[in-house]
Amino acid sequence: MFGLFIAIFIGIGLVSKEVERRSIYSLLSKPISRPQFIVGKYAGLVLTLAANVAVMTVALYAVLGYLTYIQTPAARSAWDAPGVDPRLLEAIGLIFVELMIVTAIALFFSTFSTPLLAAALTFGLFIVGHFNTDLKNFDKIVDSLPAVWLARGVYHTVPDFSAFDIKTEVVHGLPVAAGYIGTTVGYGFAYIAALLVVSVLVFARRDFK
Amino acid sequence: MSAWRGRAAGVALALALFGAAATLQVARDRIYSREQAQNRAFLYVQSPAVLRRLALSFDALAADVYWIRALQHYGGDRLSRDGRQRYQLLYPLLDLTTSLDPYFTIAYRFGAIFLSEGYPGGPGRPDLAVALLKKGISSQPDNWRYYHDIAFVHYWQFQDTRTAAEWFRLARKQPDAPTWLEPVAASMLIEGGDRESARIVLQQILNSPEPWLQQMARRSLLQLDALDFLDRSIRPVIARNPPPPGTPYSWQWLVGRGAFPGIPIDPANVPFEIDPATGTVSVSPRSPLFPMPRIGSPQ
Repeated sequence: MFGLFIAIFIGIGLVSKEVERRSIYSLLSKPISRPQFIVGKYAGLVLTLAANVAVMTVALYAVLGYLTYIQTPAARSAWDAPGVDPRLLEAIGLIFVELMIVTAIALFFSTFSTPLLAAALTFGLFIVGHFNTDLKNFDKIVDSLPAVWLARGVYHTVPDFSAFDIKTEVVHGLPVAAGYIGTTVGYGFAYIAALLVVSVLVFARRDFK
Repeated sequence: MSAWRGRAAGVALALALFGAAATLQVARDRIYSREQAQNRAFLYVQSPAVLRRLALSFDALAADVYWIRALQHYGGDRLSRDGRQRYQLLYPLLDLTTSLDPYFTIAYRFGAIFLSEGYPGGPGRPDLAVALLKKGISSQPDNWRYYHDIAFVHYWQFQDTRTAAEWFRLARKQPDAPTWLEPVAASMLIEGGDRESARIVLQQILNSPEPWLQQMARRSLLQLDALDFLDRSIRPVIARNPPPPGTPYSWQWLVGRGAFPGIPIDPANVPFEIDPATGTVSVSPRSPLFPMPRIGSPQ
């Protein structure tokens, strides 16, 4: 949640604040191209998020270690997965990629809209993305073919955040295939790259006079 | 021209990347099913006491959210075509909803209907339906609807007409309860075969100030008389006087044989009818007592 707020509330100001403070003039007068500016801003925020996620991961493992220590072996044996489970890193890794997508979305909206609107749109997409599985399974409850195809189209268009949430599997000791993680990460990187390209395209056309 | 080409290349690249993302998404969905995890429904907070504290002063709002979740859970499982109808979270969700808002009448009443529906249309747990409605009674003891709904659960799901009648009578005793509850209780008793109790209830209804209720009670008492007459005076006689093979059952034959002094008539003075093939005697459709209530064997 902290990561999400950082991604959204810093992401939305990445470009718009530079324009608002007019520091964009001095930046773009340097030998920095507009694509470099966008990618650099994005990379900077992703590194900030990485530091945040790393610290929180350490804190999480410390808490889990303590809780595991104070539990009796009988209580621990009832758990689906070990208390200090290295597989948690898989879930955390996917959360990090998810935050990277949120950052890319916030940056994209930041290139052409106000911070308030960008925050609302990013947060809206974040929520919609988490309900994406319902769109995928629309055919199980609806008979109308056009409605099913529309839902399927939206499913492939909006970011599929629900796929990055494997906490349930990890916590309950269910298997998560390496291929699943690989394709999901690949999907995330392709989506981020596409958003950055669109952000660059939009930003390249902006006139700051 | 080069700027235009650059933009076109950028758009093409963006489209290709979005296409790649969608392709990976499709491939992942095809190869790696998450059915097991997705079908596992979770309810992280199951304690109403904890949830009430977590909801701060937004209890009613949280109750609405949990009620919507209960509806989605029930509807989703009921409509699913993959045979995953399990409804395992239905009662906990309803319990949380009604704990957050103890006056959520709709949640009690519709929740009880969902719970008592037989599988696969529902979890088939009328016991939990009754428990939920009793919880409603504990918060609103004067609300006759909960008593009425418990009676229906006993009638439809447990097929226990006697208990259903008791709950209908309890419902009638609540303030603002409609007068028709008492006749329904009497009908339950008749259907359950408890004619004596039904008679007592109907005698009480005769004292009602409402004419339509008195009329209904009089008719029901006549129906009970007809049922008793059939059981005590007609059916045993027919059983003792079967016609010879090839001869149909008829009043003429029975009267001619001296089994009856004349064609038996019901308390509304309309002759009973006899089935020629089986000898089953029933109230005539021309009788004002028709149709007769569904009946169990007399107790």
